[in-house]
Amino acid sequence: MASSTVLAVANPRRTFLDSVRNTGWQTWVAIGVLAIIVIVSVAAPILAPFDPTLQSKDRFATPSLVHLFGTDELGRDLFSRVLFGGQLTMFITAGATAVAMFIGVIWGMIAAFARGLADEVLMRLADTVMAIPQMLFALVFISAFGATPERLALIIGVLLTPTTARLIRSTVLAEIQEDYYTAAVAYGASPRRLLLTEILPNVRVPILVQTAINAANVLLLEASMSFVGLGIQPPDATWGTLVQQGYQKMYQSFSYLLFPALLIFITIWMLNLLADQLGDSSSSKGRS
Amino acid sequence: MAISIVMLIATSLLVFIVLRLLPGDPIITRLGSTPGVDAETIARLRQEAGLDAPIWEQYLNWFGGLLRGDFGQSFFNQFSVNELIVMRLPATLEVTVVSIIVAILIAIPAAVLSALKPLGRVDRVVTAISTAGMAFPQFLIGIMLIIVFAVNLEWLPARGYIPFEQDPVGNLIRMILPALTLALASAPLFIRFLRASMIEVLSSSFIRTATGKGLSRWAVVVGHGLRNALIPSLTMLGLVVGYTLGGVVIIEYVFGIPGLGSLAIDAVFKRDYAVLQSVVLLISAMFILTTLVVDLLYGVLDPRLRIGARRG
Amino acid sequence: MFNRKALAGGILAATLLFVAGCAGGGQGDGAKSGGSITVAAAQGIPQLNPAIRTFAWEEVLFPLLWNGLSKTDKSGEIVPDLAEKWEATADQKTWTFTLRDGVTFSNGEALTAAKVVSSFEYYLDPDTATQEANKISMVSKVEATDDMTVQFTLEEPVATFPAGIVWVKVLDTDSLATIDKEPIGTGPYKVSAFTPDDSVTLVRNDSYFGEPGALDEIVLVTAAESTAAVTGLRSGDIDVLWSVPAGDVAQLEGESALSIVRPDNPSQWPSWEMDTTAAPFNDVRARQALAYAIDRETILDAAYNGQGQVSATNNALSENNAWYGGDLTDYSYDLDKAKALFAEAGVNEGDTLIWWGIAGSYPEWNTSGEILQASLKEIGINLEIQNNDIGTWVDSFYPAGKSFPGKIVPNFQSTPPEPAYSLNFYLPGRCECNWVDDDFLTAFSAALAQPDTDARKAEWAKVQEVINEQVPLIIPIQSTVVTGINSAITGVWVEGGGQLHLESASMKG
Repeated sequence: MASSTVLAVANPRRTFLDSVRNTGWQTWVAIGVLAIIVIVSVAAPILAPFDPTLQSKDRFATPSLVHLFGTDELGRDLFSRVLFGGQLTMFITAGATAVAMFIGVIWGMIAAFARGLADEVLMRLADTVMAIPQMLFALVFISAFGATPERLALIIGVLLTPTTARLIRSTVLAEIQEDYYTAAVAYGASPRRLLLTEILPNVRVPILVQTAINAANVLLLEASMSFVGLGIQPPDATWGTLVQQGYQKMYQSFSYLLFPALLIFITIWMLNLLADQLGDSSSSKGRS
Repeated sequence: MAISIVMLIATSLLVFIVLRLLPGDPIITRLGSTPGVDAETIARLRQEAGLDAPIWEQYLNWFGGLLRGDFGQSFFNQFSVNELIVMRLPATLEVTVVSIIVAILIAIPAAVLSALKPLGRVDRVVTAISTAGMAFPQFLIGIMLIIVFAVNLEWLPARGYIPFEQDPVGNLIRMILPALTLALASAPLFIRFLRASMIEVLSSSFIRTATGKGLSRWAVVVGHGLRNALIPSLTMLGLVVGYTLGGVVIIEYVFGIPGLGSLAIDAVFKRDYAVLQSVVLLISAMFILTTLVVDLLYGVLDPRLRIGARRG
Repeated sequence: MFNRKALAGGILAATLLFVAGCAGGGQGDGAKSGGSITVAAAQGIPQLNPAIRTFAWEEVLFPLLWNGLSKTDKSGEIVPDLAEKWEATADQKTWTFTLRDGVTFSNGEALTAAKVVSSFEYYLDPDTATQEANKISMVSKVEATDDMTVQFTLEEPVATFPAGIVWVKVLDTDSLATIDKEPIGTGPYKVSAFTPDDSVTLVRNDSYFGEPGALDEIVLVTAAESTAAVTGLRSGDIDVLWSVPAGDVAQLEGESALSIVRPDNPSQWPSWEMDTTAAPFNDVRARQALAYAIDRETILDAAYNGQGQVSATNNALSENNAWYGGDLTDYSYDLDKAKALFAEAGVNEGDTLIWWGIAGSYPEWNTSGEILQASLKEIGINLEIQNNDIGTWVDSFYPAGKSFPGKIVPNFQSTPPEPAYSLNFYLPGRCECNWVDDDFLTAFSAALAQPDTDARKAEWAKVQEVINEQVPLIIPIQSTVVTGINSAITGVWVEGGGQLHLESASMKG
């Protein structure tokens, strides 16, 4: 369910800060909005006006000054639930992205450096996994292992590794074919030095781009799985589970569905924007 | 070709193994609400269904059947998996194909408008909308369309499916929202790719020549830019088919469409192994086949790639 | 600038409008004219054999396609169906049924006593694994004494035998191997098309022996996503929606084009099972404590949106059931009592219990779990909610005899109001709670054997007293199955246990 294939080609000797500096205001908007969302979510215990699991008789209240987003079927404050939901969503997103990047980068690098048969096998394995609809895979894994936040992060992360591995491989492969790398090899640089000082600095931006794309995909997948009912278990909730419950109760309270859905949308949008901007900056500057 | 077959075999193994990790089995699920059944009866039924055989033997039985074109037998009724697939395939194919056509119909004009003046205002708006469009999970687009067109405006049914041969109008009316949902989700991918390759084509020298000849910008963009950009966009088609097939699973659930996706979700929950493993394999095969066809077509259409063509 | 923006946005908008325009033109072309109705439920119908039905929704087919010797009428009375009459010997152990004349199966074959006998033998075969088995397990012999007479010999006296065989449908046992593809029955409708888990299309059976079905066609469809289903009912795309989500009932009641149908004598009850053979619930005090810890009022209001009634005595029989009675303890919400009893049973602050539910379906279970979670939290006990897919869920406690210590498993039972076929759920080997109690068994057998109504009521009261004190199951409320129907349709009714009856449905006017 990859939503994007931004194939960014890094240019030699360009650092992250350079690429950010070279992008427009949109990068700063994306970073700013994402920062606010992360900070507010992490600070949920301080900011939330209510205990998110505190039930009351005031059910399906409409948004007011006391309950900014209204209340749910058990009279719980939806604003607080959305804040804490954000915290859990951020945890799963960060965890799954880390898993996908860690395994994916190693997988892709091995394939790129090994070349030949090992490369072929590793990439065909990635293709095979990618050919199976992620949603079905996710359903089966969650049925098998259960939906705690840690497991959910691990499962979604693993599902996103093949696309990551593919991208890393092609990026690294492109670097290996560059003149500066060939020169460094001829000069007799050690493999460790080649990796740390020649390859890694140059694939840093594509890795960052892929990190943002992966994070967006984690949010998409988590929300989709929650919608089928296999997300985080109550009384905890992610934005995805709140959307699912809100949709079931749509005829009783519209704000229940609206706010978490809006947050999912904005977060993914900003991540995509960030990925676009970073990708654009590195590729367009690289070519000129 | 040989690689595609190896990939399919790998897929079949993967799905088979992953499924057997799940607790429960079809017999337990089927009897689950039948109080008073003893463990011996369950063991006997399991044996009759061939579920007590070693896993490798079960796999070989299934795989052997596949080679003969026999996908196996559902654990829940008397239909063979082949029959179930034949019942469900039309709905999935229809929604997939219609949605891709709609996506292309949305993407081409949008990309052309963008490419007329790259980084111009229209281009920026199109880019902004397509970036935003990618940020919607497919089911959320479906929900929004249901809320607008089914709940508030009451123009379209919120769910359901009627076979085309039974009632063509009813079929198409029910196809609008799900197909539009998938199209809106995949159109941004098309738009971005098409726009990028058009801009690249338009900056090449032969276009500058064409412009020099005094052709209008519009004629250049559509006549040369679009035509040449469509060929590389073929690769995108493979990706979009994959994306759409993945999305079909949840969209069929949202809109109550009896396709392969809802068959698969049902089969996961019921542990109907024979059905699930065959359906997943079929969906994967559809994806792998599309990629293969796109690769071949690409090679035919683009002579530069005939020698040394290789997927990255 | 605005013009250009409008142009870009216009592409999307134009597509939407074009598409919407097409739809507007086709509106009104629905499938409901000409005596055809679309009936939806959240569950699917995976197969057609009535003996091995798995899901409650499959029962909608029973009165449409088949007949038993007896049936339940709208008032809840047991009346003759394929049988013309029946009689029992004084000891209630030999029952003789005389068949109705002139009944044929939809394939033209005549109904004979031999067919009835082979159907019962099929239901009694352990390999059939039917839900009906324990209602007829006491049958030791079933034989055709002549072409039109069937005689049952029972091992123990059962005064309610005709009520116990309502759902044993008489089948053409020779064609069972093709029942999903070519089902053969005696009912007012027959199957014309079947897509498992998606739809069953029924048409009138012209050779039906009774009053012919009024509708040309009944289409039963699966609408798994409940919000889309309710939207479909409101827009007229669906004519009958069985088991409307409780939260949406109030909305539907306000619509003049729709009417709401509820059973007269509801006997559907959420049943929360615990393993009564493993700690902590092997201690009766832990079970009683749990019964007190349940905020039944809130569960009824918030989880079931008021669709039902509170069961203060934790009883499978509702208070307006004719057989309700006995000296019963009131388990109304009382956390102090709960805490004290839990402590006596060794469940202390900081201990954790597990709520073992199903993900995705039954949102009311989940909400109930969250309410219980909040209640237990007040007395320091954790309730961990674990919702699973149905395959994982059932595997942990089924079949009866499995150990699942510390788990509370929500479920529900749809039973007839007749206690012989609702309270029998507590019999050993049936309820996964693994409860075996000699007092209960003695009282249950005595009630079953008693032909006199008043005396039987007293016997059932004794049974209820044992259950009430021992709390083998938690029954927080009696829930009502709500069916929403298009007001243009009449004749739809719902049995106590929630079974939808469409056999006498017709279009109004």
